[in-house]
Amino acid sequence: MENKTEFIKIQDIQKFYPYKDGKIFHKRGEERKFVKAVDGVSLTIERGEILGVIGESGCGKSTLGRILVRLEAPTSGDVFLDGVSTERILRQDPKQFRRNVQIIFQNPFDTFTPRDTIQKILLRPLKHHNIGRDTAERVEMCKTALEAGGLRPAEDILSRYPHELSGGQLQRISIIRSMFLKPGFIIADEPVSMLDVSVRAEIINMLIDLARNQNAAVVFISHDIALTRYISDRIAVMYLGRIVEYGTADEVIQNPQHPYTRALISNCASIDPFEEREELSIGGEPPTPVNPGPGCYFAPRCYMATEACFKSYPQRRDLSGCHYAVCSRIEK
Amino acid sequence: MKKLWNKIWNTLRSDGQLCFGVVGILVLLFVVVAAPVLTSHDPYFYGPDSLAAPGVNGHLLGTNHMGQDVLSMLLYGVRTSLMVAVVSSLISGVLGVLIGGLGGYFGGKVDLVVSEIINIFLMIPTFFLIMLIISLFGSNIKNVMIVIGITTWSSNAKLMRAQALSLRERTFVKSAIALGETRVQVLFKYILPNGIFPVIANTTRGMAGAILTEASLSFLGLGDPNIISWGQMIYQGKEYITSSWWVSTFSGVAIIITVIIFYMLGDGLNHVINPKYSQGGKK
Amino acid sequence: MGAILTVKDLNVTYINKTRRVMAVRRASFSIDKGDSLGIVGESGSGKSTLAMALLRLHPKSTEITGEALFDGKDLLSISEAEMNELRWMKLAVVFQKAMNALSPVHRISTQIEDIYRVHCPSASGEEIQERAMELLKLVNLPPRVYRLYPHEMSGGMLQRVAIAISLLHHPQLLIFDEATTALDVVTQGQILREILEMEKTLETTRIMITHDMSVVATTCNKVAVMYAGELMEFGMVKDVLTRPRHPYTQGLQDSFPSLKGENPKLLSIPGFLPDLSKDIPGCVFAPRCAHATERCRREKPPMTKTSEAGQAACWLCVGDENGK
Repeated sequence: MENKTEFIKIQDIQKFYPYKDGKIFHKRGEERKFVKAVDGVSLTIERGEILGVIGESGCGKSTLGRILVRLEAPTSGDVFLDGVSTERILRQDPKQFRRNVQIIFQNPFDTFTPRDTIQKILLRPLKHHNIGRDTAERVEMCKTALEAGGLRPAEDILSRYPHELSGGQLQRISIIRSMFLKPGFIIADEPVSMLDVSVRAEIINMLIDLARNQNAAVVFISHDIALTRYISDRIAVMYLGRIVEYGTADEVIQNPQHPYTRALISNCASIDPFEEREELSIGGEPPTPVNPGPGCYFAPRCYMATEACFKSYPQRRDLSGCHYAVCSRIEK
Repeated sequence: MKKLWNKIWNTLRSDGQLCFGVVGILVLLFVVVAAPVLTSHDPYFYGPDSLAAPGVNGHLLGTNHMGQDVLSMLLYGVRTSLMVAVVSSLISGVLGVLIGGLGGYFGGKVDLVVSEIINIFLMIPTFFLIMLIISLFGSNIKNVMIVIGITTWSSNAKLMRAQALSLRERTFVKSAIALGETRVQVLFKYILPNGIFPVIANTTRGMAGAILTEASLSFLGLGDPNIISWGQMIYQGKEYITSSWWVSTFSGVAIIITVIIFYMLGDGLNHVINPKYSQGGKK
Repeated sequence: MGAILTVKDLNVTYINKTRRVMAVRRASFSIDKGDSLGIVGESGSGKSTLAMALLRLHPKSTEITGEALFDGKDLLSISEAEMNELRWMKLAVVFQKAMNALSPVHRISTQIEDIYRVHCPSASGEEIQERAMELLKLVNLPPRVYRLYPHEMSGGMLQRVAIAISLLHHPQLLIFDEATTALDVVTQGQILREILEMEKTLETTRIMITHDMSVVATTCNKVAVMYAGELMEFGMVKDVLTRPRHPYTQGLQDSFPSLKGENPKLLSIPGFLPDLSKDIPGCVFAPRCAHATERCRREKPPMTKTSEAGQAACWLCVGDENGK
């Protein structure tokens, strides 16, 4: 099945932070401990596709997002944009990389510098990337974009300071600002988790438009499973820095195979009061990713674990289509 | 524009210390400008009445041992004090903001070096360093100001470094980087403007310190002899303190008042700027 | 079954130097003994203010009018001493952040003993421990938790401890103020299930304050929907969620994605909250409502009966009733 345009190729990304145990000197031969925030993630994303990444806090999904936009450098691994290594683009033309890859942050109240007006904030990237001929034209562009994003009256919004606007408005402005650069790859890191329910939809629909109309690849990072299912074409489930299940949104949600995914979905509250639910409970909470293993990372909490699960990390099991899960208990 | 004035007026009304400081500074500035009009005597003129008591021969606050009018000296002395305060604090502020900002923002090895330098400067007994330099390079007022500036920047740097450290984790800084702005742009457009206010408040309080340092140097005889300064007046008056108290006393009072004004201003600014009291954009 | 709490015309106004913010206006509802009520609303809806006012934990410069009859007493007018007697003993609350409610330098055991002894000064250590063990078991925690410090536990465990503590004195009314909001999906799901489970054995009445409609859908019997300080709709969860009468409830539902069912396009409610320091003559939701008429902007709609247990504050429903 994997023959389509591989627009984004994430190849074996790892991010380890040295574990601070308070010791300055280590015995020779002593194994250094690492917090393995992201532990070998490989994914491909097509143009116009939205990939949802779900998992509990601490599973490394946000770290992955920051690595994809290169706010942090990975310990190893690389991301290819249209076949070109980001390492190389960054070395040769960092500006081009920034133009091509954009991020929408979780906290819209902190995304803009509090001391500038929205106009000043929106003009900066335009000027920096030489979009538009002069200030007058750029201001015009801002107005058009704001109006199109439902922020009216645009002139009034432009003259405001960030703290005078609501979270929903700020998040829309944040997306508009990213859209100016016409990025091909957008990471949305929990973009609506701080917003009220009634204004979430417009942000979500804006992101969907972005993927469909601008043909951009979107990574949607969230802990909200229902929302991720709504927005995503494919979903990747992460646990302790690794992907445990991947597939089309419907397959992963309707027919979850990995025990962790199943537990996640069965614990997700639904607004349908009549919905039948499978009651799966998993013990404890995710441990910190300090040298996990050698077996399956989920095994200590898994309700299906056998002795074999604790011995070695399971192989990936390919199911129908692109759907796969990393668990040794799945029957082929 | 009217909105801005309203805002300033409301802020002043809400904080008594700031209000006191601002009014005080305005009065001092008025004296700086209007000193020639306010005084009846030339402070540099060695008159015939030496050590005249207050009120004698039109000398409202008396004269010193050289026959100079004390009131005129006091009023002209404001110029010296303000100049020392502003210039040395400017030097200390700019140095502190740049060095602290660099360290905090870039982090890693840069920060390690910067914070060690800050620590060393905080440990040095500043006053003796100042005395040493003055005695080596001569005691003109320029040297005094520069020396005060470069020995007091470390507390500003410490503040700015802490600000930069927390600011660089804020989303808007990350977002600027993601939009392709360079490190230098981020430092000057986001870190410094957002982190500078506590440093301004600190610098204002530092002005009070600078005035005191200059006065102390003058009192020890290390001041610029060609300039009228309150510290020097105390120094000159101390020999006659038992018989002619007014020479030292009035200049001492002037120093106290000025220092209090600057301190109030700095404290008031700190209240107003402190995020705990103001409603910033943060939620 | 009689009502355990009846709130009538509750108004809560925050007063500061320059403004009066009417955070809750003319809220009236009641909850039966043994029932569970979810109060949902977005930020600024006044749901937490309402709870704080009922518990009398509001800031000093707050003006409260109306009445809240609990167990025959008006919570809003009884003395501070009487209120202290009621808190923990008869009504207990669990907040969003348990770690802030527990002291970091004392063991859980010490804290539980302290709280227990506030109301039963003569209780012995063994007696308290016995009760605590019982409760820890109820919230699915191992007994060793009793000897731990708060920092040795995860967020989910702390939240469970907070629930256990709230149950110490067999309260009749439990208020959960966003108690599971800060937790992960799995932990939240587990705690919600445990709450339902323990209610099978305990006779408590529960009020669940949350912004998350799905929490109410899974754990409550009745729901009150609040917007801008006013009650919009009230009724059985099943009725309200399957057939919302108020346009605001409808809007909220349209902006919630479903987990497994169909996947219709999400809609958001245009506009934003009105300024609560100003007097609003008509319906507070009218400026954002697609069905708003001239009348909605002019006159406040009364709470109108829509079904056996359901009420909604909307002129559309008034029309319904007349039409019948």
